[in-house]
Amino acid sequence: MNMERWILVGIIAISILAIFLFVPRKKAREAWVLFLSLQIITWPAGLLAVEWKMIDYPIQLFSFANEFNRSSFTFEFFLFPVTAIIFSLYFPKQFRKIGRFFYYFLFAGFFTCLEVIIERHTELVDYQSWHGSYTLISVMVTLFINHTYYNWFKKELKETEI
Amino acid sequence: MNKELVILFLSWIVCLFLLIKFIPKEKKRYYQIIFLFAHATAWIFQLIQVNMKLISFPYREFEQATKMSFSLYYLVLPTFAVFFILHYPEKKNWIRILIHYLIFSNGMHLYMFLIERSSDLVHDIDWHWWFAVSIDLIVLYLVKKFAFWFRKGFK
Repeated sequence: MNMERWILVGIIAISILAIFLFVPRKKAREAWVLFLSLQIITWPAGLLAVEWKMIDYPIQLFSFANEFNRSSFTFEFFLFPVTAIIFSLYFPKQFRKIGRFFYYFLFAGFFTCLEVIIERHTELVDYQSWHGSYTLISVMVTLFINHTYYNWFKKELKETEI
Repeated sequence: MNKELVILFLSWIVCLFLLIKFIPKEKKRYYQIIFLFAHATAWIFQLIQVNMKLISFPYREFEQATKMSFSLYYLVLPTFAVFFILHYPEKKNWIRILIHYLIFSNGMHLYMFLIERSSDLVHDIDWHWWFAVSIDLIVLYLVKKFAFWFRKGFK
C-alpha cells in the first residue's frame, strides 16, 4: 500500500477515534443531526466541484473508487463531518462576534492547511481551477449553515442516555 | 426538453409538494432527520449496487463526477422513507406491519421499474425484482430502527 492510502486510513482512524473521544453519549443524537445535515450540503457541492473540473482526487481509498464516483469519500464523509460535529458541540456560545468569527476561522483554517499540504505533497487532492482560499471560504460557509440548522433542531432535543 | 429531464423535474415537484403538504408541522424535525438518514443509507446502498454492476444510470445529473444517480437517491427514496414512517402501523399486529413493508419496498421498486422502462435514467444490468425489493426492505428497516431510536430524544 502506498503512502497516500496510509494517509487516508490514518484520517479515517483519527475521525472515528475523535467521535469516541469528543462526543459525549448524551449528545449522540445531536452528533447524528450534525453528521447527516452536513452530508446534504457536501454531497451535491462535492460533486459539482468535480463536475466543473475544479478539483480532482487522483488516489482514493479503494483503487476502483474513481471509476464510479470521483468526489472524495474520505474528506466528505469522515473528515469534514467529524470536524463539523466537534465544531458545533464545542461552539463557544459566550463569545461575541469577533471571537465567534475567530472560532470559525480556526476550524476552517485547520481544514484548509491540511488540504493544501496534502495537495502539495501527495496525489490525494489535485487543485485544477480550485484554490486553498476557496476551501477556507466554503468550509466557513458550510459550517455556518450546518451550525444554524443544528441550533434550530436542538431546541426540541433533550439530553438522554442513548 | 428530453423526457429524462421532465421525469426528474416532475419527481422534484411531486416529492417537495408531498413533503410540504403532508408532514405534520409540529413534528417536522423528526421527519427531517428521517429524510437525512434515509439519504445517507440509500446513497451507500446505491454505491454498492453500482460497484457490483447490478444497476447503471446512463442519464445522470453529474455526468463526469459520478456514475450514480443524484435525484433518485437524494430526494425520491428519502421521500418514500419519510412516508413509510409517517404511516407506520405501530400499534397493529405483525401481519399489518409486514404488509406495510411490502407496500413501500415494492412501491419504491415500481417507481424505479417504470422509469427504467420509459427512460434512460436507470438501466438494469443484472437486476431481479426480489433482489431490489430485499435491498429496499433493508433500507426501510434501518430507517425505522434509527427513527424509533432517535425520537426518544425529543422533548
